[in-house]
Amino acid sequence: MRKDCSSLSTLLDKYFDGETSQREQEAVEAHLKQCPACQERLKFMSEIKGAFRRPLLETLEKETFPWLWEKIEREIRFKPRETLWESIKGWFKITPFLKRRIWIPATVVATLLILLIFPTLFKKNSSHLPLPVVEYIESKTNNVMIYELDNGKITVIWLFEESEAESSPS
Amino acid sequence: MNKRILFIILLPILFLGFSSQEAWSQIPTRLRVIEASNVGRTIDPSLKELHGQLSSLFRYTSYRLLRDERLHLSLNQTTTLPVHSGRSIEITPLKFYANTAELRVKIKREKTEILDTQVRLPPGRTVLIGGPKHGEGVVILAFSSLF
Repeated sequence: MRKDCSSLSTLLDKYFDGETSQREQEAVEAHLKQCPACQERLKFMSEIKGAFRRPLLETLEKETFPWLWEKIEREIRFKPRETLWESIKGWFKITPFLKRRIWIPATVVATLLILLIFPTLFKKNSSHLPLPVVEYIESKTNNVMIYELDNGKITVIWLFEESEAESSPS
Repeated sequence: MNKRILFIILLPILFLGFSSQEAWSQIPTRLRVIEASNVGRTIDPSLKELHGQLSSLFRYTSYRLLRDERLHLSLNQTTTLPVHSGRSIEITPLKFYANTAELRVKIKREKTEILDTQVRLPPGRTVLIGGPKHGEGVVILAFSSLF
């Protein structure tokens, strides 16, 4: 191995793992062209990798990992069930819009607007169908008169007491 | 749970609860007992606001405020007030919906019921019940909503 081979040793490892940059790759490849020792080393690394990989893959194909499944099942079975409160908390963690702070005042403002607008609409509707002010009236002893002022703000119920007729409303 | 989120959820609920007028336990109402007569030409200064309407309705020259009550009526609970010489008034709020109070009003002379009526009192509305004799004039009861 030449002197510059030792300085390239780390780079060669990176090259083997496919982790070099374009510049490093070019440098390593240029060196490899003229260095049989490093070529040999790279070949050896490939063989080692293959020697490990093949049996490992074969073993993995045959193995069903029953112990792993047992462990997963045990975890599922013994995991404490989520309470209602925890699931609500979880929902708020998941819901992304609540994570954004801007939605908090926006939601409050929207709610208040709806609450303020709704009674106004309701009032409008009720003004179209005004209910009578006097729903029921009865006097067993006197005559009674109902009168409403034009502006609709005052309703008069007049009770004629005995010889009171002369002092009745105009 | 984050306190802020809890606040957002609770705020509209509280707002709804407090703003729901159906949920009002007390109905603020004003009752004024007025003596109207043709003796003199005195207008009670505290009746300034009502005088224009009273004079357009009645021929009396003098209006005097005998009593001014701000009542907080409870639903289905009868409030009895003595009005004047042997007469009393019974007020029972029956309902409160769509910002309107429904009141049952009874006027009694001694133990005789001389008037039984049921009126709706929306905001800004005044109901006058007049006629019972008082001295040389009559008594006018003015009900106004304070909601």
